[in-house]
Amino acid sequence: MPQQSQIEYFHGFGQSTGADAYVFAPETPEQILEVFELARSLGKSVSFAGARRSYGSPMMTSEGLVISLRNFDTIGPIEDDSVLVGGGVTLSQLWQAVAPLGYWPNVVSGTSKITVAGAIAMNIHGKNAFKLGNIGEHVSEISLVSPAQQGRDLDAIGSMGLFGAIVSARLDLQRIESASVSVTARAPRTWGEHLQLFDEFASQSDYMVSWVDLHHRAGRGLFHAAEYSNSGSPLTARQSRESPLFGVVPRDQAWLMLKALNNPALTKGLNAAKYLSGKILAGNKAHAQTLAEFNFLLDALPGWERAYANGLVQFQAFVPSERAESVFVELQDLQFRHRIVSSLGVLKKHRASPQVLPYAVYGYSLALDFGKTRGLELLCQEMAEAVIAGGGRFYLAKDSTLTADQYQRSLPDGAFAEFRQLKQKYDPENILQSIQSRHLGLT
Amino acid sequence: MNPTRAIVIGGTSGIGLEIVRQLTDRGAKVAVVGRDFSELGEFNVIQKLHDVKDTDAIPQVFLDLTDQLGGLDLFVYSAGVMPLMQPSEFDTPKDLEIISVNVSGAVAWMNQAASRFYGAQHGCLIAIGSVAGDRGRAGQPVYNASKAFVHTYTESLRNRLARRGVSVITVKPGPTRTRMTAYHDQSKMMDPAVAASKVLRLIGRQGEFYLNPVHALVGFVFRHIPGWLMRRIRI
Ligand SMILES: Cc1cc2nc3c(=O)[nH]c(=O)nc-3n(C[C@H](O)[C@H](O)[C@H](O)COP(=O)(O)OP(=O)(O)OC[C@H]3O[C@@H](n4cnc5c(N)ncnc54)[C@H](O)[C@@H]3O)c2cc1C
Repeated sequence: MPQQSQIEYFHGFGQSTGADAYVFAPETPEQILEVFELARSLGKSVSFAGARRSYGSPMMTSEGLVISLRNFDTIGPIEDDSVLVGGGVTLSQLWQAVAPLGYWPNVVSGTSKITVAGAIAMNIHGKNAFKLGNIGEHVSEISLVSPAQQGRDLDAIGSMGLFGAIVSARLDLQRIESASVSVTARAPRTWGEHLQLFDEFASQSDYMVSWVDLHHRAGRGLFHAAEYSNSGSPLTARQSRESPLFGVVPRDQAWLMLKALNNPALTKGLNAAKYLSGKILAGNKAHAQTLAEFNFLLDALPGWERAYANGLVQFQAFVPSERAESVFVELQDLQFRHRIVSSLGVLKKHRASPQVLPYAVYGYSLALDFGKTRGLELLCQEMAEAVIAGGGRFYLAKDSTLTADQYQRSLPDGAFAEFRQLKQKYDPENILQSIQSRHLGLT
Repeated sequence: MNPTRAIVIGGTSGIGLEIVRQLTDRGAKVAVVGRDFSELGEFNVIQKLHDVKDTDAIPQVFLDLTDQLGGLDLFVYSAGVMPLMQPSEFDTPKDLEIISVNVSGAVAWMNQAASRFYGAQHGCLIAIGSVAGDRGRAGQPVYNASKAFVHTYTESLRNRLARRGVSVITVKPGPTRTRMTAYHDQSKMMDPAVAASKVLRLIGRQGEFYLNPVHALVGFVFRHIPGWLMRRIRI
């Protein structure tokens, strides 16, 4: 293997599948093409890795070549409320660069540790998906380096690294007056109440999200809606919480404490405690939070995923509005029947967003976290059947359990054929592959 | 750690062959590298005909094998030669042959494995040294020195790799009933299958290991025999 590569062990955020691969960090588009050439000569496949925050294996190929675009890390000046950024820039670097100038990225995910290229390749959504759709709708230009061609191309939105390298992209930004949002909390007691709250708050809110206690049969939880506020925190790049947790535990070690606490009885208790404390706090009065705190709640506890000793699996189902409640209830029933109940459920409202292999629908998504245990894969596959029967879809950034057949059945008619056509255009030799794409029959 | 993908250099006879047998019994995928596969029998392993003296070929062979295995968890260097040597014999070609198999081949192969494990930050590397490497005895000057080389070299590798989460094990078998010792009385020697199972039990650990407590004790005494005495006794 040539000098500039180093073998590395890879795993996705869920830490469940891992593989070794040769990692390259090219500095120019020409060097990316050289890696494609090398792959051809060795008969190996190539995949792209961003910050490896996807749960499964879309960013790795066992014993293959993995390209990291970490050297493509420039952030250009803001022009016409948009900014040209390198594919390797993280959302955290991006917001810290633009917030002091009075801007915020239109779409961000629940963690800021991901790269812009990873965000576009998966077509991420935020807590404002009901309003702004996925990130792809806010990208006006992508420069793509593919095995077969190079140029500007928006086809790469949602392409999961299978069409080529996203070297840079132009992202639209929101203007903000302050770095604060004003947050309203409610304590829904049932699945139905959650969905009603989403509908009730949709027109007046910029962001909405709901946490669900899966241990509770009726599906109680906590709903948050937020609006940009024109007063509040000044526009600075420092909004993160770095103070020790409860004044004593350093935040980067908090996962150790979580790990000690992580057992089913306790998660059940914590869910109940969270509901009750939230219910008390959820008066009618709105409270202020910074944009970073509100959007990147999970980043406040770095390494929390390590609290799941055997790794973490997330199951996220996107279900059309009419069927959402009944499908979510069915997913909960299945968990009770298998005696494996999710430790954390998160609901969001969505609208459809155009991309190859679409996942978003007019409806809701439910994201369920599970510590990896025996029987979980079977449960996830049964839940997937319920989702498919309800006309729902899956988001591959979170997947590690679907079968190829399930994934392909969940796609809208013609989507798979369209993907095949584009794949043929950008990568006719099928050099770009990942463990996931192979498993799901995409490559 | 239960290795699922292993390469065994010199896995066609002796302790290496037994290691291959036991690994495949456990369901591991094994690539065997050697010069003569006649003893291997009906094994479902990847066979690679290769002479470790051909050091230029090693990087490509290593790449091909890791590719076919789909990764690597365990690497064993078990190739070694010990030609019969007369007390008055000083035969340079014969000595250089020992060095090229026991030393140069070992370095060329283990560098590949070490560099991979260093990057991947997981794996286990096992080198077969020998009690014979503990002291320079009259009978086998270059064989003794070659095993001492293996001990010191793998100690260095261990000091580099342990901090990367990689286990590096130097095994010091005593006399074992293999082809290498065929011209000695083998009645009291350790069975290679026993040696192999003891070796495999060490996976995941760090350090130098004798395979039986008597060897450990003898080794200890041996290392402390003063030079003047070594010159007089016949061992
Ligand atoms: C705690 C947490 C919260 C999350 N919350 C959300 C959320 O709210 N909404 C949401 O949508 N997602 C969410 N995610 C998922 C995450 O946003 C996506 O998985 C995202 O794609 C990760 O980006 P990454 O940079 O880590 O890319 P990786 O995970 O490394 O790669 C993702 C995909 O992008 C491709 N890729 C990476 N770089 C390039 C490139 N330069 N060119 C072409 N393709 C490339 C890879 O091949 C792969 O297919 C969350 C994940 C975590 C861990």
